[in-house]
Amino acid sequence: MNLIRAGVTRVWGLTFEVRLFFLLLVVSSVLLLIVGSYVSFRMKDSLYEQIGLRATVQAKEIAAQRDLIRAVMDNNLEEIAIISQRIGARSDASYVVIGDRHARHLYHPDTRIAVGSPMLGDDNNDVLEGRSSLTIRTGSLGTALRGKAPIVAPDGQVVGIVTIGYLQEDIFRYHMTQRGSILLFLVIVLVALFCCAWLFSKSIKRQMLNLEPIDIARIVRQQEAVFESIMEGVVAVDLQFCVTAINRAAREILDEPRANQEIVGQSFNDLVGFELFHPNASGLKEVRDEFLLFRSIQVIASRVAIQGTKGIVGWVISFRRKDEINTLSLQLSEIKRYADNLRVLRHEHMNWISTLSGLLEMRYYDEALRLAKMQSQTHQRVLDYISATFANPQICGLLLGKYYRARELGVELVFDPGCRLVDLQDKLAISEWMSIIGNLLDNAFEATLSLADRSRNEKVTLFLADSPTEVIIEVADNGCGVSVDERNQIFERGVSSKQSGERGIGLYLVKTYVEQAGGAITIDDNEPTGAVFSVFIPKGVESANV
Amino acid sequence: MQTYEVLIVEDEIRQAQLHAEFIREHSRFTAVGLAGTMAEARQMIEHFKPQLILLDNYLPDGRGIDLLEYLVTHKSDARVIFITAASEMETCSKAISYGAFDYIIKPISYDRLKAALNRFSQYLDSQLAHSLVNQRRVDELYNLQSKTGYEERRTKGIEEITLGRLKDHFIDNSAEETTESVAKVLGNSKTTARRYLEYCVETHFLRAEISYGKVGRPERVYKRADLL
Repeated sequence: MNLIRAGVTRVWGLTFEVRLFFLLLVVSSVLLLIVGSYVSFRMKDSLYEQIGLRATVQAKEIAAQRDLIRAVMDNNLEEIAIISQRIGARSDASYVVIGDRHARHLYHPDTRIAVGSPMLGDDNNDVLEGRSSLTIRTGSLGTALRGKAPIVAPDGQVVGIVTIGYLQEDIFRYHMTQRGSILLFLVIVLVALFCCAWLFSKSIKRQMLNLEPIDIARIVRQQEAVFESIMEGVVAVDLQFCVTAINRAAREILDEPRANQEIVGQSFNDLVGFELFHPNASGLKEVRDEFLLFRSIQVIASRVAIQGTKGIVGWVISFRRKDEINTLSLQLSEIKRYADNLRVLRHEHMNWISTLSGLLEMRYYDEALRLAKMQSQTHQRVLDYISATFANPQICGLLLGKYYRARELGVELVFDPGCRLVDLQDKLAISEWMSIIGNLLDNAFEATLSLADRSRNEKVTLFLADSPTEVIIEVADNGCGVSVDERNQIFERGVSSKQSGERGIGLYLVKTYVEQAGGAITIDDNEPTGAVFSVFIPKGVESANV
Repeated sequence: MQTYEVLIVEDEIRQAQLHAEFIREHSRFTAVGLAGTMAEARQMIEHFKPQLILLDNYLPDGRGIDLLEYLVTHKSDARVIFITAASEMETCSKAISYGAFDYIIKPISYDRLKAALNRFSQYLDSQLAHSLVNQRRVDELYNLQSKTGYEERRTKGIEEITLGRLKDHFIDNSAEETTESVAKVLGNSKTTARRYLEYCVETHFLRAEISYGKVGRPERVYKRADLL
């Protein structure tokens, strides 16, 4: 994790967290500004509309007042002024002006404006013709929203004009007080947004393990490359044990021709042809270096849990071929042994040549010939015995190999005189027969070698024979033996009676193949020590009738 | 009588000449070529199409075993007598699995080589006239010394006296027996007891079955075939 964190890359010198915060802030501020100005614009419109309506309605009401109509008809200026002042005091309008039918002032709140002076604004003609009007005009008191209504005498004649004015500066002031509260609200929202944006970007950053997106992309690619280049097969699964990732080595070991995308989502057990995960298993444990059989390939597998914040979220299974490790460690010891053998052989060879040349020199030709023939005789005899006794070339090859392998290990492989193999029938593939015989022999060699007391010359006896109805394979050793308790579990996967753990899978294979062929395995004690493994495999009905 | 052509593949020239000389003495074979390298051997196989190849494993430009593998996988008609040193038994076991016609260990015993040549001529003769001989016989010839069937091979390692004692035991006791109990009676190893018991099963004196008895592990028990 530290390695990754060291590689944080900044864009414009800002971390992702800060950039996300600013982005959120700018976007929300712009949005707020647009919304705010729209609201303010609409508010002004509706304000003018409302005030205009109020002005006309007031003007009409005032013009309909009887005492005003009478006062205007009587041209009673004093009465008009009293009524106008009373109305002006009650109304929220900026001013009330009364004019006569020639659009001349009868009352004006500003005393400097003389009675009889013409009303300004050129908006009186409509009113004098009997219609009320709403205009924005500049009058003697300044620009105002003015509602005008005609004063109509009982006989229907227009006798005067009522003007209710709302000065623009009054409306503006009113508008400003309303906008102020909106602005305050906007500022509060903005501060709230500011806090939210900060917390949000913080939490995103935390979820991304404090990494920059660009680093995450780089790490993902880097991990992919690492994943693909590992020599070990690696498969990740989720909690349903479906494959979520698989690397190249895993596909190669499993000999899987399909592409990754096709494998992902498949059940892991189906993929490897092995019941590693039981569907409703609980309390799965991490396991290291377990011998398993994936698609009939022996592998050493480990599994590790993927830890999420709330417990296990999946598993990673890594595996490698068993023989890879075997080959490596074997190669090393074998090369050493080979070099030693060569030295001894060379020495023996020189002795032999000098004996031979001595015999020739002394003209003991027959003896020389016998000496030469002796060199190959024993080997030739083993070879001829094996290939004459067992009718299958692959089995012969295997047995010859095991015979010399035993010899290298200091164990003698003895073929029981009753050995003979006429016909291995095809209930099992030849490689499976070889696996049964080979694993039983290896097991016997190991049991023999594991014995502390190696002073005696230890033997492993093979009895391999078939009748028309049955194949019998029996391997007897004088090794450490198998206790009665062990007998039930020795064929289980990964169970070994010794520390090496090597033989676990071998006997497991033997059991698998024997059961597959409908045969049986028995284990007995051997005298004086050791074990006898016997395998009985019935032949098919067809062969029984031969 | 038809003669068969032999190619000798051996890098040691003096030895190759000796082989050739030996083969010339055999009335049924002629040596058609001596190859000292893999490359020469391939060319000569292509050119002469010999029926038999004497193939030494050590060659300057490769291993005889690879040539054998090549011939087997390409289903060549040529048969191979494979020659290796005693120190290379691993290669030899490989050659056996590939199914070479015969395997001879160096230093070569010419008696052994002669036996192999005789068997080869018999094999090809019978293959040519396979209307007279059944396929089984041909197969038997292909394996080393002629293979015998179940009948002939059966009595190997069976002595009359021990067999008699075993039979007496079963006649006296009608109980089920295992290798363990029989080994005690005969004073032999378990494997020997098994050999005798199985012989009796094959000759229908005894009957064998797998019993999942007291200990849970299967056991093979034997009883007289005439008893139920």
